[in-house]
Amino acid sequence: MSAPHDGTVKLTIDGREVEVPRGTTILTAARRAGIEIPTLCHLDGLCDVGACRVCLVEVQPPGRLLPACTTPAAAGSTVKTDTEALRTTRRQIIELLFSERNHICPFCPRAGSCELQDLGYRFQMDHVRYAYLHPTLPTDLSHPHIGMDHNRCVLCGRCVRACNDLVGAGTLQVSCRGGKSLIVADAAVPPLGESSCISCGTCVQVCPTGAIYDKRTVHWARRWIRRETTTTCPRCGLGCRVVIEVQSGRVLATRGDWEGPANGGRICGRARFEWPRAAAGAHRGPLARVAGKLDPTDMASIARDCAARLRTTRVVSDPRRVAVVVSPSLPMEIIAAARALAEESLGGARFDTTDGAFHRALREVYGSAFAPGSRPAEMGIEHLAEADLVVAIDIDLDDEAPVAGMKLRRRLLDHEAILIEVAATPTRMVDLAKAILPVQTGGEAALLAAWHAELAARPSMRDRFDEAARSALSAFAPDRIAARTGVSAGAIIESARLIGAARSPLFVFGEGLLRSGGLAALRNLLALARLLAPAGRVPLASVAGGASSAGAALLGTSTVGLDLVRFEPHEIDVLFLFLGDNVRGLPAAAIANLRAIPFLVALESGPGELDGFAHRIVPVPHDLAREGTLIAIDGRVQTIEPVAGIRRGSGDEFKFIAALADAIGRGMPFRDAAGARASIAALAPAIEAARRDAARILTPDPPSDWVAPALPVMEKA
Amino acid sequence: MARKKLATAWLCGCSGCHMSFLDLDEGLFDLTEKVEITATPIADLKEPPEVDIALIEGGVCNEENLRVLKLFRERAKVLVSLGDCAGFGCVPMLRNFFDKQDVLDRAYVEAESTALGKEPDEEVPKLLEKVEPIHHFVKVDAFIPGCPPEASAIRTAIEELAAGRLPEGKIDLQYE
Repeated sequence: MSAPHDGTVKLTIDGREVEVPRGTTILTAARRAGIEIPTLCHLDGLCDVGACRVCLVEVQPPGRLLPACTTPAAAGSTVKTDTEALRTTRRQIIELLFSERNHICPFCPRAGSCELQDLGYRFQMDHVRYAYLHPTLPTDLSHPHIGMDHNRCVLCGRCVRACNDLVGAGTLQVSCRGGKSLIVADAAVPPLGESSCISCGTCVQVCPTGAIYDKRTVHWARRWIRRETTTTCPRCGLGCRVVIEVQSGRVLATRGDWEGPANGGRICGRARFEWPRAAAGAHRGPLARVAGKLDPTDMASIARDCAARLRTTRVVSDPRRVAVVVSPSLPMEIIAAARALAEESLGGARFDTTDGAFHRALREVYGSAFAPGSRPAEMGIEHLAEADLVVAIDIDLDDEAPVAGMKLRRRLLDHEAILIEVAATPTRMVDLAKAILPVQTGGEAALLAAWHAELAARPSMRDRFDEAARSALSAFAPDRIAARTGVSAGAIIESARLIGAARSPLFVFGEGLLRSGGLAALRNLLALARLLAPAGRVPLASVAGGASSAGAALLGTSTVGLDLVRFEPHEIDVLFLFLGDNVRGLPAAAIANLRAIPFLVALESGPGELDGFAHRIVPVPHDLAREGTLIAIDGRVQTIEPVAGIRRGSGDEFKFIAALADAIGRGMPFRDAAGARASIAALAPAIEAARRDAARILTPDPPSDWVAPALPVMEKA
Repeated sequence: MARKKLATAWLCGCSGCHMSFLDLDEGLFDLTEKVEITATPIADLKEPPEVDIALIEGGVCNEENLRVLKLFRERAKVLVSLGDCAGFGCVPMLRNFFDKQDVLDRAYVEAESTALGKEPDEEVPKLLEKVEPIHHFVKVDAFIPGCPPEASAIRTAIEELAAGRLPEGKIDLQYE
């Protein structure tokens, strides 16, 4: 240990000399020395408030009991953490908690996994010496997923702090004072179910007792008979690590893994509460449409039927009449297999992902800054941690990358960043936005051009533009094109001022910007980003929704892909659609197009929106039964492990691809996950390198010869 | 060595603690070598003689519970709270969230199966205002928690008490 200096203090805890940085709490100092102090209201990652007094310790001076979680270690002090007097005091505290509200353990589903009950055992509370207050308290069951029973609440405030500190929602607060305090939503005006709650359920995860719980599953199985698996959530591109609790083939609960690098314990409501297919245990065999309805069949028959369709003259003469489209939520191995199926076995059929159009558009706009095998030269979503201004354009982060939304909320609340929201329909983040620009659909390119013109006119920018450029930019002056944006010139000018004043701006966008703003919007966004950051990576973060989107973008699609939303159905004779769980569904326009396909083979893990018209249905494993590789949007390469207790079912994509390749008499370069991984390694060495090092795929700076768009354009591409 | 005398009572509980006691199975024979079982719900004798040890299952919900509890306290050298109803109030205590008259009306007037249609005035003991653990009324010397306590915990407790040992640590009762 280094010699004590100004930055540290030395104290004695249970007879051991401990040296810690000044400001360290006694609780942290003790833990560092391997001394465990009991706690209840403390939770790593939340600020400490000293609410429960369970962690009281003897501190000399001043010679009285102080809470270890909020008392800084003082130089020269002597701390005792485990004396007879402390044990008696702690037992009294637990008894007081039991007497204050209505804790009837045999009646509570948390019995056996309750932190309050555990403390009761630990301090040998075999009866309660105080009179029970027996208050009459309400339960709030207004929320679709979360139940709140104030009878079992110990007012530790962990839910309030998690809602605020971790989630940034600030929905939960404490009302009233003392024993009459209640945990309430939105200053007690509405019940929880009608409040600003974003339904992430973090309060359920942090509640130490049975006070806040998952209404649907709380009574299904005691916690200790649930099987737990830690894996990666496939529900968006962030790659949150989750712990899944399963019993009798059903998902009972999901928790955020506190060690998860992308989420630090947080998860969204989708990951926590919505596992419908695993819950229903829906498993079915292969199905074929006969006389309008789906009948059971077998995999070989489906392969034969497909082969017959693929042998027609029209298809043989033009392999592009066949397409393979994959959900980017599937593991990389499946995406690589589907790609090989299209390119090798089907002799050059179209290959695409459902978000492929977005990646192709980015590729086109970025040009050489989206070099093969690397991520686009963006600062990326990880830059949210540093940006002081975030412009969210046509994206609802709460939906597309919810945990990133939580982190942004926290930054906004801490006044570390401001938000400009550009959206035709306000998102739930709108209350925290500094500026709200209700851009009309298709007006995005014009708005970005107007910002560009306004910022370029600032004195500091003037010498970066020649006469011709200045003249071209003047056409985009806010007062000249405001009408095309749906936003007033004044609002454009004011928001441009905010952007110009930012030290480190970040523009966050997703497929929505391409869908409503077109290629011109992407191009103008890149031009604006380059104007603000003339060198290095551009201050952009493209958010694609799938768990493997970032990896799928590296593998690339066929030159002529198949954008499910925009294609002409008469161009396609046979479509293989790899959907997996298809949790978020397909856009209505895609469904309409798919209905017109002459032969649609859907690979799905359970009943879904294609059942009414798909010609063949091939069963595949539920998301939770899979293993494989996912690539998060920050480039992190992660694995998913099959969740214990979830039935895998008989079908899978590899079996189908093998059967199909055999039926059409063409080879398939690989037939299992190991082969797929070798293929990925060959196609995108960056993925393999990152997997080996358990690291992330790096984002390179743009190449030196990269020419970003310098001036905005007007047309909607 | 003379056998110690044991009595047990079943107040406002579900009898689960006594079921757990019976779960000692053949162990009960071994136990009778150390203690003489006198009054208990599982034998004919209901009112205890002077005993060394009394185990009380259940909290106190009516006047009869209270009478029996006080009788056991008078006649037992060591009185032990058996299970969570006696020690904490537990499930029967859920009645405390309702008005006593509402509870009686629900049971004897509104209930679909009631024959009398009114609250009985004889035979059924009068309910107290609230259900409470036994240490709210009498001095308790030891507690065996659990819902129900494990059979082995009950045996250990009885053997220890029969050997004249009380749990360590002061049980500073608030109610005496």
